[in-house]
Amino acid sequence: MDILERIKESIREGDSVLALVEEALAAMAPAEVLNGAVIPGIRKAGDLWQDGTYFLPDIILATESFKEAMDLLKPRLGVGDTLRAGRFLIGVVEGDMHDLGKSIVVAMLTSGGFEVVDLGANVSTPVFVEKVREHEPDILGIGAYMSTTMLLMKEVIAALTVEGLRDKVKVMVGGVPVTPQYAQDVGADGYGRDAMEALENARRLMGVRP
Amino acid sequence: MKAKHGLLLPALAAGGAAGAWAFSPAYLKSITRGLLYGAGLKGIHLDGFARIVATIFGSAQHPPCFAQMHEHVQYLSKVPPSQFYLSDAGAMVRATKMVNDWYGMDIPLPFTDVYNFEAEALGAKMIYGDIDMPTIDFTAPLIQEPGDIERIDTRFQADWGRIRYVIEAVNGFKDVCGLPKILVFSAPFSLAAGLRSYPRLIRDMRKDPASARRLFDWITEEVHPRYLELIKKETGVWLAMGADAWACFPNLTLDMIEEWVIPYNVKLAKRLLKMGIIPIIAGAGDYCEERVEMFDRATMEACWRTLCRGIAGRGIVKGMPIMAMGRTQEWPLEWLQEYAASDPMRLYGKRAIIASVNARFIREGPADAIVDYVKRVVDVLGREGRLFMLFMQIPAATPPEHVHAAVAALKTYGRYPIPEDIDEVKFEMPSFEPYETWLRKRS
Repeated sequence: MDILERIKESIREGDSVLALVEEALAAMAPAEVLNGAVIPGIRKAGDLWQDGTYFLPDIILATESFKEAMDLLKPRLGVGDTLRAGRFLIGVVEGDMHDLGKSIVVAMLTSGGFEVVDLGANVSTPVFVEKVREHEPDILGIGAYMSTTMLLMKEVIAALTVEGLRDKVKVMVGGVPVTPQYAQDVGADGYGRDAMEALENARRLMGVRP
Repeated sequence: MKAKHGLLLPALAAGGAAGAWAFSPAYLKSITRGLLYGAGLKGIHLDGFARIVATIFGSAQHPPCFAQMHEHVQYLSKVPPSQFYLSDAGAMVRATKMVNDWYGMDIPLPFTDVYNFEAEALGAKMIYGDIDMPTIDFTAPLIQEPGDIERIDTRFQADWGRIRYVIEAVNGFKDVCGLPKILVFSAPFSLAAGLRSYPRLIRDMRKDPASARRLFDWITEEVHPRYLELIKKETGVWLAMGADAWACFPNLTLDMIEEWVIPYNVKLAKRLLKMGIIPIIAGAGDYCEERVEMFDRATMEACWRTLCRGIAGRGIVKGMPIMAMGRTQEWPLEWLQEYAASDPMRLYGKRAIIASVNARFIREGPADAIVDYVKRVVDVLGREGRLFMLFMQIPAATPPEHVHAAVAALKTYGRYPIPEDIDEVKFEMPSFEPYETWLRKRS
């Protein structure tokens, strides 16, 4: 099995890929490793999850491996090395540390060609606003995992409006307590029930064909 | 204390009766009334607790209901989160009792963020938000490396973390709510996820099982026994409920639940029984598949089997009710009813069912849809009795009319005997006073 296949399989299986990616980088360009192994690996994991073969533990491990590979590859990738579906800024609202779902969303968005800026968890409304201004994303993704913290989504969107940024960025919301109805109620442009749907809807918002 | 013949609920009732005799004639009265009513002697007045007892054995006037709703209670009662979750368990218990009374629930469940207390007391980094309950900082778990457990002091003291808050809450079950004291704690797997973080724990279980076993052994042999011993010493509690939401399906596969969760729940349950604490550990195997297109009857039934065995541990008790959580409003409830009937209890017939109203559903409604769902639950699952309704986490900003509608529907459609054609039952949406007005009058 060649090195790209091994990386791909290791990501799918949720194994550590550091040594493999380093070995591959010694022989080929970062973009080749990314597009030939890392992205196909996480996509395969996503497909297996979507068809019910994989469960949360499987996709979480695959996501961790993917992240490991990306941490190594990202600094070496040049402009034009990746697909460019759009820039996606993502974070979990203040007071909420549940970022399991967000990690999967980040992996799937990246695999789908989005440049993802991950703000992490416990992100305050002013920081969301500041980072939107700084990164000028195409889409802002706001996550919340508690029925109290989800109420802050509305606050973030309102702050974007006050700061004159709302028209410049699409907003997607997600997380366990969030529903399409709630997304509509808070004035979001999109919603994702899970990571795969988030990717699909983000692409739709960007006018990118799946 | 070991329950014979797999009859935990009667054992609980009997244990409750014994404890009640010693501590409160009021319990004894409720339990006796419930036992007699459930055994068929109708025409007896039942309070909420007695309705629970009656339903264990048969049916009360209607299926009893109770709710986990600390976020909603805090939101509605306007007790500041710092007081509600951190400094004043008494205020939390009183507000919970009041809101439950306002809705007409049968008993209140005055507890809050059950997955955090032990981890916080052991030193886990917490985030204390302004509007919500504290949460563990999963990005910086207490156990970064498997060997970290060696340096964690497990000799719990009452002034660690929010243990005094827990003690006050446990006492509140009796002092404020008139119920037996209950300690709600984080079950072994869920505590492990809190201490190690879910991704790291999963990686250990899959790639380094020896470390994972060491962690689970440490939790079940050292952490939980010491924690529960302290709370027991401080409160005299003899009933403990371990919550295990992290171990629901599909958070874990059934194989993982069988291999990792059930054995440690059993082990802990046996240990607690020896300590004079009756454990109920619930949640492992709960069918929480969200994607309707993925609903699968065989998997659901396997989950119910695992869930029932796992509630207090295989080999210790049987006959536990089936908990129906997840997106139940979309479930084919007939599957559940057929399963409950196919796995009957010798004394009572159909296995008891704890049905639920999904959190997002109760928040979004509309009220008509909630009423229709409750009606369907009663019609399909409740005809023989042995049906409970648990509102599993009512979200903060849930419109109260949704909850009032659900409770009224349960009490109207669920009034026994239920006519063959449930559409014969007349139902009107309830009117109710705003909480503040009601509270003022009550005060």
